[in-house]
Amino acid sequence: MLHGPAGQPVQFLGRLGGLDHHRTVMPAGRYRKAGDRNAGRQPEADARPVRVAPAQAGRRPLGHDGAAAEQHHPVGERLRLGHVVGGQQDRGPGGPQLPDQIPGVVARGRVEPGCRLVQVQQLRAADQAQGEVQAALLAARQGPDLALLQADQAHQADDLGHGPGCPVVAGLAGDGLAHRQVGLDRDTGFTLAISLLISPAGALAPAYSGNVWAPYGTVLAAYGPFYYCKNRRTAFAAVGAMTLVAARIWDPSVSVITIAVLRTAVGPLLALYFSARHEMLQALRDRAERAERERYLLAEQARTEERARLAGEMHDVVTHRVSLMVLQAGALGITATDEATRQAAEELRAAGVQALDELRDLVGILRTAPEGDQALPGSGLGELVAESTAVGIPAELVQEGDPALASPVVGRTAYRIVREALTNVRKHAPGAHVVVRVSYGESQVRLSVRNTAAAAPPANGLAATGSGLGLAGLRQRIELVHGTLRASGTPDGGFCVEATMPSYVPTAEPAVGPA
Amino acid sequence: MIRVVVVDDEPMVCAHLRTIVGSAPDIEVVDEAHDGAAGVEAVVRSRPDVVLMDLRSR
Repeated sequence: MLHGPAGQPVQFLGRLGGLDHHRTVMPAGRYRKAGDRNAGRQPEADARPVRVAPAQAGRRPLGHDGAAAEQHHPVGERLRLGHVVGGQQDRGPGGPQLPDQIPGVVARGRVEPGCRLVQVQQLRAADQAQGEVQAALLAARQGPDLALLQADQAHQADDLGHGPGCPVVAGLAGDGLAHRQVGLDRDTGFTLAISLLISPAGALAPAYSGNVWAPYGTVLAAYGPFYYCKNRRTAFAAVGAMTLVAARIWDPSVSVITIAVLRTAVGPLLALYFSARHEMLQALRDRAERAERERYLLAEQARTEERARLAGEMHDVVTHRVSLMVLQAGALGITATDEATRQAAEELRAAGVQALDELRDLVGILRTAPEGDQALPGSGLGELVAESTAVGIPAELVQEGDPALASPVVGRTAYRIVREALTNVRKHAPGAHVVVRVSYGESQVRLSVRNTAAAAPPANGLAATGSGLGLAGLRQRIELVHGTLRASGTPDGGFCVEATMPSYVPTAEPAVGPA
Repeated sequence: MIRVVVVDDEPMVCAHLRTIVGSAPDIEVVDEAHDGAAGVEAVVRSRPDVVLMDLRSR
């Protein structure tokens, strides 16, 4: 039905064969069918050459050039169709290459360079091989593998009477590759090329058993949009369109539609599976990294505490000893009778005093924690409360007694408790009102952070942050200073964190007396 | 004379303080104690003008 008048040679001037000589593309009639109605025609009548003038070819894309001459000519029409699409390739780099630059493909496509116009009579079956010619031309542009594939498909489709589809396929595929060459994303380009290469062929010849590429190709083509598209809606649209084409809705048939839906469903299912798997692996990796980070932070915290403990011990023990030495030297300086001894005792005492000064500096350095631990008890809490108010959690600070009664380590611990508690309120009870109450006594520091019920549900993202070790860490910290921590919900739906610590905390056991 | 009681849990510190403080011409160390209770007793007993005491002793 679609076979037009057969057997005219197609002659390309200039563009394909070079400006200096003519070249005739002469497909052989190997695939011609016995029953073809063109068989009985006279070659003279059919064989009108399609000429493409070099001057025109140089001016415009090849596809438009022969349009007028080919309008009434089915074979020319096919060629032109292929060229119209494939002609975009001419704008890409390396577009206008010659067919004979890839000899193997040209031979397969039955293109015989050097044949002249006078050999018309031999070319009756040209239209059957039309797809092969197209493939050969395309191969010259895009590469051997693809073109071989297309040549196969081309004459398969031709045999089935689906001739017009083949140049379209070839041209579209070339188009996809051209985009790939000019810089589209690699994966997208690949998907596009494969889709365009195989899908229309599969759609046009769905039931042909020899076409193994079409079913797999359709699966692959349907896989691409779901796996690579960020936007699922686009992917659905693409696969939906592909399904409509593959189902041949212009020629509805239950089996074809069923097969088409199956083909286009497998790809997206695979893609969804793989992307879900990818996301799961990503989540697991994230979790492992987070665990490692937390372990590192805990180790860092332990090291810091160990360092502070060491510093405390060093200070207490060594300072005590040196103080005794200074005291003793002072006493000796007073009681000594001769001037030389008194002088020596005085020098000893001065050196001891200097050592004490230096020890104090050293301990100060060792006790320096990385994050604002040196905050003074009073002012630090005030800042925390002001910060909390600034970020939308109205907080109120009630202080009783003299902050100076608390030793520095207790002040720092109080600071940590209040900071952690306010952070928790911000995370879990947005819109609540907070009262921070601190009472500094001679022997104890009592601290409570009490918040009312949340005014809004907590933001999940914020509540999920943090290590979840906040309260446990606080409890540990408080136990270090021999204090207690109580954290519980209140009857009104709020939460209360209470801590009791001794005002003075010896950083080590009292030094033993002189032996 | 200024009467002083020295209270410290370390006998050596007490002894040295006694020496140093007592070396001043107008200060006299009248008693010493090694813990808080003994310090109270010493104060009751000796009625000093000044108590020199280690705040963080036993």
